[in-house]
Amino acid sequence: MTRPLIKRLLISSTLAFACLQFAAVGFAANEADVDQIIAFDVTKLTGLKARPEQIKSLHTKFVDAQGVLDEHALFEKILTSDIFVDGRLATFVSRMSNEEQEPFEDVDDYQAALLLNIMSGADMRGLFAQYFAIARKDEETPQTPSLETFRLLAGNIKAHSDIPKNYHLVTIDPKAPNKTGYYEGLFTTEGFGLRYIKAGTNRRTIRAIFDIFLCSKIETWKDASLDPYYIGQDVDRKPGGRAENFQTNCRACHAPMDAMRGAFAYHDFDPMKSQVTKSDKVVPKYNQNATVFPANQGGFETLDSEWENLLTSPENRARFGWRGKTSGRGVLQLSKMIANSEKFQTCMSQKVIATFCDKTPTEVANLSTSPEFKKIADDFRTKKYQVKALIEETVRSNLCHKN
Amino acid sequence: MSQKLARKSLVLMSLLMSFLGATLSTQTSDAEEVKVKDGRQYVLELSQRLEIPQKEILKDFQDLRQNLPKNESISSLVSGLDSMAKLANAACTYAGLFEQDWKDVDGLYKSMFDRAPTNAERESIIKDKDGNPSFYSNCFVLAMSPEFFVQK
Repeated sequence: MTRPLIKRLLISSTLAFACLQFAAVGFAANEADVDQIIAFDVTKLTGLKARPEQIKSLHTKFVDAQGVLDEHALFEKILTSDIFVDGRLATFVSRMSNEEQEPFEDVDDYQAALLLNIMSGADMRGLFAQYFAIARKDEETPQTPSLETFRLLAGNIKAHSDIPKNYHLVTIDPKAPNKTGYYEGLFTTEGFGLRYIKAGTNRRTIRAIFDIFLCSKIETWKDASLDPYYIGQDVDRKPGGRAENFQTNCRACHAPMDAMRGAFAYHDFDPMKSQVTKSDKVVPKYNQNATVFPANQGGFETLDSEWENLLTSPENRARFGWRGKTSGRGVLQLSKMIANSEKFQTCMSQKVIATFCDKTPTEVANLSTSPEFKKIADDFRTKKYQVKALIEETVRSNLCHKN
Repeated sequence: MSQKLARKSLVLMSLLMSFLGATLSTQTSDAEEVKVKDGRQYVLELSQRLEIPQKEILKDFQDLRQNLPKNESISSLVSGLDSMAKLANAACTYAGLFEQDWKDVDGLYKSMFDRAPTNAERESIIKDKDGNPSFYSNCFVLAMSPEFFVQK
């Protein structure tokens, strides 16, 4: 493809977008314009160039006699199409499942939960603050544990689009006496457990949550000035015989990570059952290698699932925008803090732009300083954290056409 | 694959590499960027354009996905071309199994690119030993052409 052709494509996209804006405020577009608008919308949403006959079909269905396009209805139609679910949405939930943002990861219960949440138009924070299960569509209350249900499903999954056709999310009151079969939020799914709870010391959970949901790599929030109080007994305070190594390097990451990893103190990953398990006492990995720097010398001994977020300096508050408590007990309270932060809003908006507008990380960073971006991120909150609405607003905004 | 097709494929690969080389060499001096379809977009568009059931071709995608382009960067093609060729092979083989109205060369161009072939393209249509256009060979060449894998 020649550069002039690319320029022409960009210009036609911009023109199409301008037409879209007119249509939005009630201007009647002529038929050629409408074809262009629909072609543009479908292309942007699916990442695939629509065929003329498909455009004609959409034209018939979503443009009224006055030539006005019902954009919202068109979006809803595309959202439920297999090509969209197996394309853009599959890539989106895969990228959201790992720190490397790999787009073609195996579908698992973590991805399924995200996908079902998005397609249902529910508040995304529900995945972070509630017990939920993946249940068959024909049952209101899960008859079998959620993971088992998902495994039954997994055998039949040929594509992501099979998931919303057969399954839905069911939540349960956290105070219900029997929550067997329910996930304690997204971070106790098998998918998350396999990647970040399996083996290790559960510190990876914190690194991954900050990376995936707050768009913040640990290198950007490590801080050697933070209180080392919570740093575990397994961390050498004089690595290589040099205390300054600990003070300048190890401490910077361990202080904030170890202070929050307590949230997962009762959780481990059982590789035999391939599932996240919950114990009624602190799992052994928390206090292993306790002789390296024992509690009587100042090493922290984890006794329960209490956690504290140490990233609360004025700079960090401005950066993450914490709302509400910055300390608590257990996984759900930690994930609730994450999902209620301002940074969560902006991070989710950035991820949507990256996937649904085909933007590189540099392009996303540049776009994120614009007032339009701020509005989209703010609207995500005011519209009750519906990722579906976020995607719709984003692909219909100017941001998709800027570099 | 016939020797003739193999030769054509080699020529095609050379052209692709020239295209990549030329594009990459100009990237540094020009902020405008060519983006290619990632592996998933590529396979879904093949399915859509060649009218192959989506789930049929997604099975091949599952097997090859680790080597397919994972982002829109043109450099991702370097390691992904081999797997893209396998997908194009599977898709064109599948499409070739079923007789459809559009399966002459004009129909193939229309299906893949929404246009008729140019005169130059008509002259380079691959033919079988009987002198008839080979659906599979032409389909494969179009599926591996920049016009198909560059994002519109």
